[in-house]
Amino acid sequence: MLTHSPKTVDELFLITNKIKGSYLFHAGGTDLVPYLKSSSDIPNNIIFLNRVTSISEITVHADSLSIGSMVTLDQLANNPLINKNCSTLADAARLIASPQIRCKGTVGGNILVDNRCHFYNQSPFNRGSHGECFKAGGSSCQLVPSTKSSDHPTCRARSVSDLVPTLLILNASLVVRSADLERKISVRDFFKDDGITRNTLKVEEIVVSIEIPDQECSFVKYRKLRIRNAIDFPALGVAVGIKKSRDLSVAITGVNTAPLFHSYQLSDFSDFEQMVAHACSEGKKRIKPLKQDAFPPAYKKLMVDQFIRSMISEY
Amino acid sequence: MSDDSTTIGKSVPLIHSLDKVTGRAKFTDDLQLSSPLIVKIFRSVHPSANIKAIDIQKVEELAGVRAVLLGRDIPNTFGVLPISKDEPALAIDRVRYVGEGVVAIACESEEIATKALSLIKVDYEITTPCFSPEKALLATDTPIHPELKKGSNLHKQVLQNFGDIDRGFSEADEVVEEKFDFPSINHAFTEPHATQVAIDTRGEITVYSATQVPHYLHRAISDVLEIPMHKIRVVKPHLGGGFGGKSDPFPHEIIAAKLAMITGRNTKIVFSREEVFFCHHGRHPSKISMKIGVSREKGITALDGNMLIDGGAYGSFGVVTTYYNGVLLQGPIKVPNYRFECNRVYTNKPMCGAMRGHGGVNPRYASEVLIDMACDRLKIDPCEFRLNNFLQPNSLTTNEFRITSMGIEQNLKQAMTRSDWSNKYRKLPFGKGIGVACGFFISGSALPIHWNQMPQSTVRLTIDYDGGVSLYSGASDIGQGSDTMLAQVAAEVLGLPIDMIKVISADTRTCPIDYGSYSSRVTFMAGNASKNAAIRMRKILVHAACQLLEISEPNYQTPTKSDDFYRQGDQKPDFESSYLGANPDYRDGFKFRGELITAPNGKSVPYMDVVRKALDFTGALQTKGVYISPKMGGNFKGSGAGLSPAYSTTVFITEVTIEPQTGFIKVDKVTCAHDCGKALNPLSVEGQLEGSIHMGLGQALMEEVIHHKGAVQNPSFLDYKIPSPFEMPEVDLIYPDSDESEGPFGGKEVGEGALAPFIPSIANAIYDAVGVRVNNLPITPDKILTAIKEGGPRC
Repeated sequence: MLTHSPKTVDELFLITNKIKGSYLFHAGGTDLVPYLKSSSDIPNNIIFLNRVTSISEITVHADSLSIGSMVTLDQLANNPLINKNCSTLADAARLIASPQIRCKGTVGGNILVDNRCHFYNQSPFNRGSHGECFKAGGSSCQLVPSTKSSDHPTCRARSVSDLVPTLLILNASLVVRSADLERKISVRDFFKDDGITRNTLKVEEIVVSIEIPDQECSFVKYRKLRIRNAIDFPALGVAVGIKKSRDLSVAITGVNTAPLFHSYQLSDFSDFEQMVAHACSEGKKRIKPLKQDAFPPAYKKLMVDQFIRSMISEY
Repeated sequence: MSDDSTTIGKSVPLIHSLDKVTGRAKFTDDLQLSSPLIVKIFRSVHPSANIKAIDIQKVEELAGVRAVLLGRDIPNTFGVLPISKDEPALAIDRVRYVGEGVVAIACESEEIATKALSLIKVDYEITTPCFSPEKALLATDTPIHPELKKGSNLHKQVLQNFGDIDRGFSEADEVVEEKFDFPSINHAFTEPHATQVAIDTRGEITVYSATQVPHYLHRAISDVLEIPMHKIRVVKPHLGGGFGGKSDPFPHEIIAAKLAMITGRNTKIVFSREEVFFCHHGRHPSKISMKIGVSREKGITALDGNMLIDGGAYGSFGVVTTYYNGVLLQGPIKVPNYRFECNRVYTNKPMCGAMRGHGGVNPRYASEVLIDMACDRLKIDPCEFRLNNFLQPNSLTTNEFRITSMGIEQNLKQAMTRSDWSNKYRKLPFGKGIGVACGFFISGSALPIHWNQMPQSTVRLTIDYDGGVSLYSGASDIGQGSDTMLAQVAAEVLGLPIDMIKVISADTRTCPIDYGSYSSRVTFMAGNASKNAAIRMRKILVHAACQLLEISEPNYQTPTKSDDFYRQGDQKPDFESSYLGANPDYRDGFKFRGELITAPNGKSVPYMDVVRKALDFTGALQTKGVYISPKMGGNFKGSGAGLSPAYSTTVFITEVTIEPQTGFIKVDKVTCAHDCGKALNPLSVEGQLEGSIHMGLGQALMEEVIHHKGAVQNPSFLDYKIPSPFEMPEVDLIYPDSDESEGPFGGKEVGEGALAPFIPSIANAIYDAVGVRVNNLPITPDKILTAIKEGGPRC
């Protein structure tokens, strides 16, 4: 396995053009390295992103905030600009993993973190004890055994980013670059309802930065369900946003294949309470929890309701 | 102990701590043997299958593969208990759990070994696995161990009955009965299993291994590989936690030794975390039905328990676990009439064995929750109930355990005061609760696993021209600090600073036999042996000092209570033998204080002058001390199980907050009062108690080994949840001295006993907070919320 450490984005794409064989980008490595240790599919090349300084900056613009994808989660949690302009994102960052992991893990890495399934996230040996799953290139699904094998089998591995719900509420966009193209895509359009492909990022692309527009929301909160108050991925993560107009938006992670986002206009309801009740009901309806991680599915449904209400009660 | 003690009773940092925190300490994986072959094990992916064929042709052709080992190459089975030697080093005809070793290879590098594993092909005939312990009790034509000819998967059944159980229940004012369910728990030690084997030109081997018991490993390798013990040396390097999970001899240790002998090369094997979970040997999952009768006046009138424990594929310590599930309920409250039936079954899962609080943890949860329920129904304060019914010092339990010291009554009173119990119990607002539970545990097992008349522990001391004391002990410091304890005891007797005691331990070539670190035995037994050896050494030095000072020698007293030192018809010790009894007195009128030894007449002589005088005409000074348990126990089958020269007790008063909307649990504060006799090293005592609280918290609230079709589904520290620092509560520790007359300087157990009662104290506090009980661990928020929604209290 070869390693590469480009210093600029252009240099990075020169390397990818020259490489023969497979490659993977290494951001913070906190998810990638355990994966490589347990994987039988090791790439020929690893490209480290940590020396590309241009994607490690936080910048305040006139009408937006730009966060480099290689900003670490620890920087995000503690940066004065973030805490002043977007404290809710810093709060969400502080709920991720542990201090050590936050010092290595990056914003881009957390947004792109691989979906998880306790049948897939095992060693090849352990997966072999009950048959390789679709995501591992096999022909069965232990999580939903009735899933049919096909060219595009459904994988129900769950999305687990702690930052994405808040970014969905904040209507953030991802700035994505390939060798000859830069594009911008809303986080709300980025994710795919598929535990294998997960999002619309192409193999030759990297996320350069995250842009957060000036806020319409006057109130944004994120709450996370987990058995321990450190280390764990979200068993359920719920963010709520309330605009000055008192319109409501809700984003949910940790359960479905793709993060969920839905907004509700106050004008469609008789009053605020009815809108909240509807949002809770919709949240419970939309999440499709399966029996994995630390909590039973029925409990997660109850907690969606509870979390939405408890956060809004602070409004 | 004199008032001007040098180290005993003082907080002494563990002697290896600086080496460990600076990275200098060498653990097994760190040792640099010359070009070791890397050993890996090909493991079964099936929980139950017959092995039809193993194709190793491609492996043998791969460059860099030096040896391939199959089960038939090591036909002798083994097990830590002589009565259940049911485990092969590698599966021979059949596999019995996912993760069982089938082929072992020794290769020139990690990469080659990984490649070689992928080339092994095994043809299995898959058979129906048995995962359910209830089904394992039923008759079957295809038992997991057909060689035992039992016709079912029952491994061990224990039935004990004392007193009149029916009369006991009839005398009760309240009878409570519940069913409980406990999952599989892993030790989650930091250092994975690791073994390296060095082989010399004569074919003799030195096995460096992360083991709690070098002596048992020494025996097992000798027995299984049929090599004389003198050709094998077992050494335990620094060790990163055991908690019972490294007390068996393991297949990989035998495999690494065998491969070294086949190849003539050094070998090395280090487990991944996943392999640790597949290897397991953790706490038995268990289903317990228990019934307790409680009388306002008489306390507990009867206890009837039925335990079904899931042993997994092999025996391990299971026979002992089966007994401990019942017998350890005999304290700290007197139980006049009691009956229990415990069945251990084989299932097609990784085997269970000993884990901190061995066999006593799950039934303790059941009994302490039931006592709380009964007190609630009878409207009795559960602390006051316990205070009125504790076993008394110098008494016998119903099953004839000999109780010596018993400090629990004072400890509970202190814990009640410090926690402000009387102002909180049943008086806190909804969502806040306080609960109490108590525990009882052995301080070493009085009977050895391998029946023989050897002392349970022997310690040797030498002093040569440099004046430093070398202390040799087979006891295994697994991070609990036994080396420090041994040094403290010897330093105290010889009046020397602790850094003059150089401990050489856990090396079967240089150290005398000790039965190792399990059943909370080391401080009591090896500590006493160290004290015996040091007193013998002190006598030599006193003799030399008398010569230098030209005074007569002191009159030594014969040991007091010498009749107690008989063991099952053994010889009576005397002062000239190596055994002076448990916690022997050594008052000789002399004062040993570092550089100076002072005679009763006030004259002093330098320590080094005394040492060199003592060396005249003899050379290196050598003494030996031993520990032998006194004779004890009843005259009935199984009377030896749970016999101990002393018992520790623990009190927990725990405070919790429950969020009623979510069921979230926060353990706010723990008041823990433990009777460890004299705290020889308070720093170490506090570390053990805090560790027990952390470990108990995990079992109470989150830990569970999850299996899917026999495969462990959470074999990592991400998915097997042990508490993070955020979950640790505020801790108030109480450990006043109690008078343990037989423990070295009055010390007894502290490493295990505190774990068990902490868990039910949380459960009882939850009941106080929100009025619900959860009888299946772990107590997770969803279970609490469900119980609240289902209408709250059932008692």
